[in-house]
Amino acid sequence: MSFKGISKIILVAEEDAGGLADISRQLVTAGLKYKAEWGSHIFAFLPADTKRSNAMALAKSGPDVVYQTDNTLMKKHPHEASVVCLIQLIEEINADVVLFGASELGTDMAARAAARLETGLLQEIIDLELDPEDGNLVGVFMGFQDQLICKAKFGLSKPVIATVKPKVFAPATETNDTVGVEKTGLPQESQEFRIEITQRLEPVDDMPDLESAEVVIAGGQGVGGKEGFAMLEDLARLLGGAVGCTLPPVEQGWMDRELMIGSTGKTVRPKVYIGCGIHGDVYHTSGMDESERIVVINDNEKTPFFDFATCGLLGDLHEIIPHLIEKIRDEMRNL
Amino acid sequence: MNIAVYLKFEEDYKAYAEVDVATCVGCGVCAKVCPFNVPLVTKKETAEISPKRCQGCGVCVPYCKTNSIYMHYSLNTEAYSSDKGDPMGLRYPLDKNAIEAGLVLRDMVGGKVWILAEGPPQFEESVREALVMGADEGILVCDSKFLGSDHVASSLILEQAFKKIGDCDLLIAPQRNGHGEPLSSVAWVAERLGMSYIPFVKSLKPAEETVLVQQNWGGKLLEMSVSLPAALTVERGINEPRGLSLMAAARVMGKTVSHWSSEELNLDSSQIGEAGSHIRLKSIQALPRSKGKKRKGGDMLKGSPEVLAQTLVERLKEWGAL
Repeated sequence: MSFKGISKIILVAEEDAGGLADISRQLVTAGLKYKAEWGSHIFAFLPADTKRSNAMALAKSGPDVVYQTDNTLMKKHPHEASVVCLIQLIEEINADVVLFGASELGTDMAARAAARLETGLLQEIIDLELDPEDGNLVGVFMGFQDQLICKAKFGLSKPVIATVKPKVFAPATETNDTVGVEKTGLPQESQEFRIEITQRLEPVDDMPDLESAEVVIAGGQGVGGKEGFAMLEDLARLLGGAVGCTLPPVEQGWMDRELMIGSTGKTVRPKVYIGCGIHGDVYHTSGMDESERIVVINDNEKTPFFDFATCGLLGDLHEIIPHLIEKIRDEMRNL
Repeated sequence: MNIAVYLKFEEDYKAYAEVDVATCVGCGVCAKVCPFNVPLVTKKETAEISPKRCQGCGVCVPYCKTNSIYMHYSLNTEAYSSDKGDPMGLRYPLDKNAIEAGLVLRDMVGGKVWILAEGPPQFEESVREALVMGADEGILVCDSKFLGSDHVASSLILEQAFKKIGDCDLLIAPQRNGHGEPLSSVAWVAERLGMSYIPFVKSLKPAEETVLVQQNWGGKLLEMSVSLPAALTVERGINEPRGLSLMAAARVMGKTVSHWSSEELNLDSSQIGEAGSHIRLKSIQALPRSKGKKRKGGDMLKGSPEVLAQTLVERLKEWGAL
């Protein structure tokens, strides 16, 4: 037995402060790809407490129909209520595949929906394909701390649920064509909610993810210790960037292994990469050499890492960076 | 409040490089770039990579001019069968965050913290480390039949173990497992046992018959009141895990870690491992990797730290990073 084709795909979209979330536009691109490949019908779903304008934007970007949930209960219980509505839709149309963006909302809803439907879930996929032998669905994802490409086969329980890793698909653009927006509410029976939102607080001042940051400050042995990395963190905060490192700081216990950049760690491609006190072995450079611009700070002129630099600064990072932090603060004050 | 902290061991992968001697010209570039000095150029003028010594990093692959090096990847399923495996302490920082979250809550309201770990025998060391941190009881759920379990099968194992502990109000787990994947099996357990489920937890406080939770929600924080029993997965930054002291280590020296197998959890082999899973790993491949692009035309700036900093500020402005 196998899937008789993937005829119905639900995309679960979301909004952010700026409107329809970028991850959702990427999700639409993924959906349209599978529509072209498999002839699937694409349903888009906007969960609880979302704006009408975002449903309209979604309707213009390519799905065949858009559903928006509509219920006042949802403001207080968005997590649970959205899933109840989504499951109702999944069962109503008998969906084959349900895709979410791998955001907090998508990760949360995907797990709830998969648990409730007792079906297979694959997180943070980068693609879906059909097995050439039996036609079953295969999810492609980056496994083992994003070091390797893994393929996993879904069983036959329907629907298949997956979250799609950000920045894999380009965001879909809006067109002049639009499709209908249907309203969908909570099922009639009374619902019991276990989670109640009491307050929405303003954005947390968190560093962006190392892999998605547009500015990366990386440190090596030359940073000298935890204090040195605290200084790099100050710099990263000023530039809205993230801090990474090479292997020696991990071995010394100054930094967590998950912040290591290189062939056995993370791969970064920021707009600006600033490497401090790094020798430049291939194990590190293979994880960052696609960066748009590379700044290397080192006090040894013969450091091989200078070969990678768009701009090299010859000097002691412990002297340069405090000046740099001060000057950037000055610049920001003058803005 | 009785709290169970769930830690899960994840199987590593095995990898090694193999040289195709038919096309290898014995230039020795692989030997030069290998971080572990594994490749040898033999008298036959071809390279030889010992699969035993190869660390599987794959650095040599893009350097080979004749594309003669192939990587082989597979899941390392030996953890349960090898008795000489090294003891494994708590390897993932998030695991410590989850333990700490449980300990802090217990210290506020009383009760017990159970460590509920799933993994091979060597993983007992992790449970011990958690006991040294201050957990009250340690359990290792350990059975080679668990290998190959996906979220659904893992959740069944967790559910049975959680029920066997009995009378727990809270299940705490790290947000991501050791492979960096969201730990979703907790959602299944919550669903089946009628517990609240909250991922991305940034802070946790006890309240009357509920817990107050702050959740990271797309960069914003949602504050919510969550009914007990509840299952939570915690994020980095929820707390600063405590260190280990020798005193504490001495105190727990005589403590035993209970081992539970599939039989003790009343699990049938059709429910666990590959048989009980909806998703099966099919293949593992390397990422396309470059050998490191050097840039020509980059400039080297010299001068006083202050001048260098000023120049960099100008560049950052030019590049739109400021």
